[in-house]
Amino acid sequence: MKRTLILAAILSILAISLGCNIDAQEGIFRQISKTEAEVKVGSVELLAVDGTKYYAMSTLMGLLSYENNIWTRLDPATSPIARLMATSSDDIAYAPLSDPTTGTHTWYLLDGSDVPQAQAVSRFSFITTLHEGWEIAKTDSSQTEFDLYRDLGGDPVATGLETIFSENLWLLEIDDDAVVSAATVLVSGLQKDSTDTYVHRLYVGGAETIVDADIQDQIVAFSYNGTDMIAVTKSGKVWYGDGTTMTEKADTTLSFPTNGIAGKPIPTFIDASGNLVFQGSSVFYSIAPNGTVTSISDRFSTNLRSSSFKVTSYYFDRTTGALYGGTVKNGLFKVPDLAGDTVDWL
Amino acid sequence: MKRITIMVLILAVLAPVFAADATAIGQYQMGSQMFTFRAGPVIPLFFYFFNDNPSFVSDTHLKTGGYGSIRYQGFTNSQIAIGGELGYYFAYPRNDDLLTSVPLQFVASWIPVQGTIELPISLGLGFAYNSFAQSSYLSMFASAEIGLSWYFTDQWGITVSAGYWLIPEIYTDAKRVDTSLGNFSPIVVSVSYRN
Repeated sequence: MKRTLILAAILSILAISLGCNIDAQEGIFRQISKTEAEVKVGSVELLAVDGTKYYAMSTLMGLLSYENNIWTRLDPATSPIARLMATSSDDIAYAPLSDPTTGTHTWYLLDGSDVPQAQAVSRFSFITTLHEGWEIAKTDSSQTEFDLYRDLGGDPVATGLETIFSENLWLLEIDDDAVVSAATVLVSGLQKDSTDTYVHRLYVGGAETIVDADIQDQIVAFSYNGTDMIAVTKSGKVWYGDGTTMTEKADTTLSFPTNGIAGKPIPTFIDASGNLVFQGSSVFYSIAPNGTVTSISDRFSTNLRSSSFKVTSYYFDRTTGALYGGTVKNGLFKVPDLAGDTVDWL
Repeated sequence: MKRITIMVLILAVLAPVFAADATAIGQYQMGSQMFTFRAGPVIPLFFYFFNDNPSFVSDTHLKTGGYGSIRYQGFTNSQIAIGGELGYYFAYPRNDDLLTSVPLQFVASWIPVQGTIELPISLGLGFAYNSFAQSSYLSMFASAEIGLSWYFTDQWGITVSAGYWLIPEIYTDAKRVDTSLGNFSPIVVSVSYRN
């Protein structure tokens, strides 16, 4: 009887132990062995790579360059809270968040000399911007109309977006001209005067495509190669098709970390094979243009688990095959080869 | 000359121990009890990942942590005491997440040298609830320890001890690759009350 009780006690403890030890994260000692020092500049969004010099926007220090293990604040006079407008190599445009009442918005161009230069553009306010050079802004004094602009241009790429969208919308673009035309952008958000109906528009060189209205959720990631479109929604559903007609992968629901705002586009990149790649909650996902979803649990993914490192942004160097990125806590990283497991923390 | 000097120093340190042993027979008996409050640093030694090559990870990324515990033991005879220990261990890795562990273990101690100076040797076995970032793990916990005690009164004494902890983390299925052994070395200062 005594032996039975002891055995039952041991089995109960083991059962409790197993019950406590089921989660999607890596093992505790594995996580610890991969920890890296946290940088003191806050969450870092990688903007541009120029040789051994990196440009980034951080939450605590604003616009920074990073070279030889030194972070340098590029515009100490400006509030670190700025809205990124456009990047091209080491030319970076940004503007303070505050809205003017004059109809002219001052923004700054950080040219190759790293010296911010004040510019002016005719805008009352920005609704949303992408640092790849896209913006949705209001230019009329009544501030009821908003248009799509590119590269801080004076003429809009598309007008009258207020007749389609509410102001709750996001811009998505693939920052890789080798895959997607630089003139391609997706606008996704709530329909005008609606709180639960979503609409999506694809703009290629100013030409508008109405994306399949069956996608009734916020799109947070997408790719488009001119023929095939992939859309990943806030709830983790994957859609594939030509844009106009899309098919949902009913048996697939992806889980990925969000950073702050649900529905905000997640960081992605297009690999050398044209797959849309992003960090999931426990693995990386790769989605082929035909909609095939592959989980990447080995290679670079083993050292970039979201349980340890939340990625904010990517830059894939198609020439060298290296992947660069920014993280929420750990600064910048480089994956020299996507076929390997090496992750270098810069 | 140097070796002789070291030998003399070692003998000088150990002399009181053996002297105490000779005069302190019968310090404990069945029913004697000991309460101990313990604290000190814990040095991470290495991780061992069974499915990795190499398996041995000496750079654990953990900094030296801290440990505190309470222990109660009762003597079953003049040299052997058994009881339990409840502790709390914490350590920071390279980032700001905190590793914590709450070990609850059965402890058996053998005290071959008794009196004013004592030499306790202890073995422990139990469980530990480990937490890190968003993860937690209930593991087995094993410990071994040797100490040197000085009783400055009949009841109260202090002990300095060095030990070894083994914390296995065992997984099946997809997480099998994370099966590992955590190895640590606590350096503990204890205050004990005996009666």
